[in-house]
Amino acid sequence: MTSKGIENVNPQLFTKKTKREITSEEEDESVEDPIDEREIFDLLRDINDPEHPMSLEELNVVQITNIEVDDKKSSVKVFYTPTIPHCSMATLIGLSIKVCLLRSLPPRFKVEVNISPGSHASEEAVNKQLADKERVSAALENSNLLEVVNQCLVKSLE
Amino acid sequence: MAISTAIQKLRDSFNSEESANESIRCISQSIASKELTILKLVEDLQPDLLNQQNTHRCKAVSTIGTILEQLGPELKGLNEKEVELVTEFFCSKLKDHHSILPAALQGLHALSTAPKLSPGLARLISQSIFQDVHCQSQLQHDRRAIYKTLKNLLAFHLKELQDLGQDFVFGLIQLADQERDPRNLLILFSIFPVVARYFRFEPFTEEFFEVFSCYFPIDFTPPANDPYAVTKEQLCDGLRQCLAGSPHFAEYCLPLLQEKLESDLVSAKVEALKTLELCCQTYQAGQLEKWVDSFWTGIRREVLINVNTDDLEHASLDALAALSRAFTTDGEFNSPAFTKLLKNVLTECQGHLCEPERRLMTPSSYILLAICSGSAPACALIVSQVIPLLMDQYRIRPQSNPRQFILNSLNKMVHAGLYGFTEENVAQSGLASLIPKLLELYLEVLKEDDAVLRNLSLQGLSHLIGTCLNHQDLEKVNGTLLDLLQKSTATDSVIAEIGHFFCKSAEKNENLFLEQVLVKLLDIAVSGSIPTDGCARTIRPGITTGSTQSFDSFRTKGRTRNIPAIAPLGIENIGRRRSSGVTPSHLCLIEKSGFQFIFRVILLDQNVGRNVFVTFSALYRKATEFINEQTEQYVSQHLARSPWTLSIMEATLGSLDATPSGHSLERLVNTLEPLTVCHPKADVRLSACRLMAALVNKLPEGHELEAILDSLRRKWQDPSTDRCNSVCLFVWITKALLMRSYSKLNQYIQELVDSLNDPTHGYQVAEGFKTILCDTEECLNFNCHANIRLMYRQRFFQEVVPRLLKLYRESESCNKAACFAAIANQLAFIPEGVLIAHITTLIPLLIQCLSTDQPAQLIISTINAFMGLMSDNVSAIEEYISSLVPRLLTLAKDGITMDVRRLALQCLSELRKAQSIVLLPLRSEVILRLVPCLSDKKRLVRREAALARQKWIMLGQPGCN
Repeated sequence: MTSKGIENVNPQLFTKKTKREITSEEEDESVEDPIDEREIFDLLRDINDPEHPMSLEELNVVQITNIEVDDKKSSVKVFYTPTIPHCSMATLIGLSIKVCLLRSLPPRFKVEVNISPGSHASEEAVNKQLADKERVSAALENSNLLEVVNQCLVKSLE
Repeated sequence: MAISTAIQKLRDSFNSEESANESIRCISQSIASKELTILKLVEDLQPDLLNQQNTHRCKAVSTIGTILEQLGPELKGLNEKEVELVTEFFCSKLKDHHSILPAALQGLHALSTAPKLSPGLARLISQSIFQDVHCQSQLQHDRRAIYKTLKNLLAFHLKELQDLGQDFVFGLIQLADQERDPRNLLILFSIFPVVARYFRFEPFTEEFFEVFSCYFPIDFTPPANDPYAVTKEQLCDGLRQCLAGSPHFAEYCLPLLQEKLESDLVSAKVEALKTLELCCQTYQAGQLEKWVDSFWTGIRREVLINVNTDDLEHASLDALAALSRAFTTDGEFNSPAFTKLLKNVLTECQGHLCEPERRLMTPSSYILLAICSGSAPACALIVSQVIPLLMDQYRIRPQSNPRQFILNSLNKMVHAGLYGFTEENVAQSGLASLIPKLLELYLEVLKEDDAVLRNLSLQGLSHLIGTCLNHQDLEKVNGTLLDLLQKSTATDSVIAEIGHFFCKSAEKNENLFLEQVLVKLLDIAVSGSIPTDGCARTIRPGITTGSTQSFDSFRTKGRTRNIPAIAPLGIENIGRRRSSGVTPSHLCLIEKSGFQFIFRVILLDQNVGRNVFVTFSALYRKATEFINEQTEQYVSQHLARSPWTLSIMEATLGSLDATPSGHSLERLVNTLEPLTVCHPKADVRLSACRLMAALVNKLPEGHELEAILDSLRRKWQDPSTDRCNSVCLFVWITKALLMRSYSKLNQYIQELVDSLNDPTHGYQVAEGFKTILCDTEECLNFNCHANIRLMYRQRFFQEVVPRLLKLYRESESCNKAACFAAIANQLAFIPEGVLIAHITTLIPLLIQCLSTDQPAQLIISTINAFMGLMSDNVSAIEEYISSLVPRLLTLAKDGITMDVRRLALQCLSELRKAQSIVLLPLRSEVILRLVPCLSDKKRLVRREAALARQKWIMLGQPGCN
């Protein structure tokens, strides 16, 4: 971040969940593990906030309760909550979540990323933007935007 | 060589291209031994020194310079008069043709290294340089000579040069202005602070400051493969010292720093803050006062408003601490500006501290702590206001999360508030009046069910020990803690923290601890109501500080399952007492009880017994007598009947620096041998093998050793024994012999390689290669006094690889998988340098192993080998990446077991360490072929696949370097 100043200087912080424990079924070769909410959450929790050096989990932007997964119907829905209702970064956060899921889920999944109802001033517009495939791919053609998205994602890989 | 011939040869060399090094060396030796005077030499060389041709003259002058260099800093063989004449000579040569200048500078530099020069010479040299040399039009090398000359003169003749005063400064400014070479700048940056400190430089203050401040902030990236290795950090450090060199610079420096603090460049801000920190030490408070507000604005912005890198935040806080230190003299702050600032800071930070669930809570407490660390009165003020506030906040917040943040800050404040105070003067700290309330709060927190809060409270309490808690308080705390220990809710971390507290309190107040706490602790231990290791941790301080009495009491009381955990501590204590010189009779008593103790322990728990024995045998190192005695006793009493005591034997006998001999050795070996291969329990067999290996490793070469080895060989070649067990024995014995470089080692290595061919156990032998090369904790290491020759691993590898390759290439029927695995298993242990020589032959072979039709075990050890290589030296395998990646991709998708698939994916992730230029051509293929792995049926595999795929997608993209 440059010295231009940031919007939400003093956000609320939350504690982090512990690592998912490996069960004996997961170690058993013959059992098939379905994709569940926690698996999606684990993909997203360490994404960095574009403003703060904190993860989406710490800022409560992504919560496990706001993720819906149906493995059989191949659908994933993520609802995320911006820290303040006027957050201009909301679209960027949504885009990062979407990009992360598109990169790391099997292509059979239909991924929907939405703002949690009532948590942002321009909820509808952002949701629409994120649902529009062409706009998402057009956004990722923009190297400046791609750079910011990648910066948010790169931390989650360490 | 005779002197005259040497001079003649030298003179001849001026006309030719020949080198005259030898003659020069001969001449300087003669001068040093006073066979020749320098004046005679100059006389002899006169025609050359006055030669019309510049190059010729230059050579002659340079020769004299070289001779001076060879005479060393004492200018051996030269008297005072001669030194004077030579100096004048070189100074006059500065006025000569410009091509002679480098030679003259060389001579002057050689003279400047002399710590003793007659008065006036240093002055003469510096003045001549200032007058006659236009420094910046010289080559880098010659400028360097000038700077080094001046640096030397300043180091040895500061007094004399000080008399030159402004003239020197002016000369230096003219000389150094616009220097561009980083190597030269480093020298200059070491000269300027000296001048700034010892010279009067008015009216040139601003000019002088300009000479170096123009480089601020340093922007320098060393060229690749820089042979001079000047780093940005060195330059930054040097420049910082210059800027902070004198208080007279303040009026120019502070605006500069302020300006850079507003910059957009993070590195510039960090530099400005670090420089400010240093300046605060030399500049006066009055000079800083005008600027303190604007610096605070900058620091506040970096810490509270912007989200920054750690570097910048640390630099900001350090600078703030330095500012607060600068404004405090003799326990008071002497500046209204700072008092006002402090007030503002407090108001703002207090606001944030009241919102503990928010982000700014932590940085605000850092700000306050930084100010505290710089100034005692400011600290007292802050602490007396902030601590009550935090205590109130704690009480009004019911949730655990904000409470944790509050307690954390509170602890830090308490620590800061008490820093530097002792029991005597603690009343003067701002904290004194708050202590009863603090204690109350901490004890209250201890009653909570939340383990994190309790730990924080214990940490806080331990800050109070020693300075603030009187007897009564301590009694109260101890009581609460003992109660807490016995509660079922006491978790491991709480127990550890309590142990920590007792440890500290025992240090400060031993008697109280012994009387009150230890006895109760022992009761708790004996009752067995808390887990053993927790018990051990809390009791440790008691044992280490406690008297023999307490040790005895606990020996008599300790009959239960807690003894094993406590015992090692007791023994440790004996060891310490032994070294600290207790009277022999007393010692004997302790040792006797120690013995009884150990045997009881051994009967309870062999693992602990083993630790105890190791500690105990340390007391008796080198006592062969004792060993033999113990061995006898042991073999007859225990080993034959209850082989599990073997692990104790292993730990004791295996780690001593002597071995049993004669009869006891024979008995021991005879008892051990059958255990190595025949005992039904695997760990007993392994212990026996290791002990045997330790013995074989340490016995002196000779008849005795041969006999043992022969009998062992019969053992493992015996077809009636289980092949698995005999392979294990064979591997351990080979390891022991390899380490000591046994003379007939070759034979063993060949046998090892041959046994790889075994169709059923070849793979196990290959695993043995790992055992042979890895470090073992139990025995055969330096701590266990093993006989280890340097570089045995390298020797083994060099010896074995050609044989393995031969086996692989020549014999059709060989067990190729085992052969591969044997190679793969060695890679992780072999230093890079040795590996490089073999890498071209080995890697293609190993890559062949990575195929789905190979056994999973082999694939796993090969991938592990690759990962080991990559973590140290990815460049070694870069050449092979293009053939490695497709194979890993196939394994990631179709690997038989999930472990293979996971490892293959991890290896693909790891490859990101290689240079992008090697990876980029593969990127699209990898991204595409990882898609099916994302739908793997196992979750753990999917996780790795997602990571690997994201990493490869990011490769070379904007925002991820």
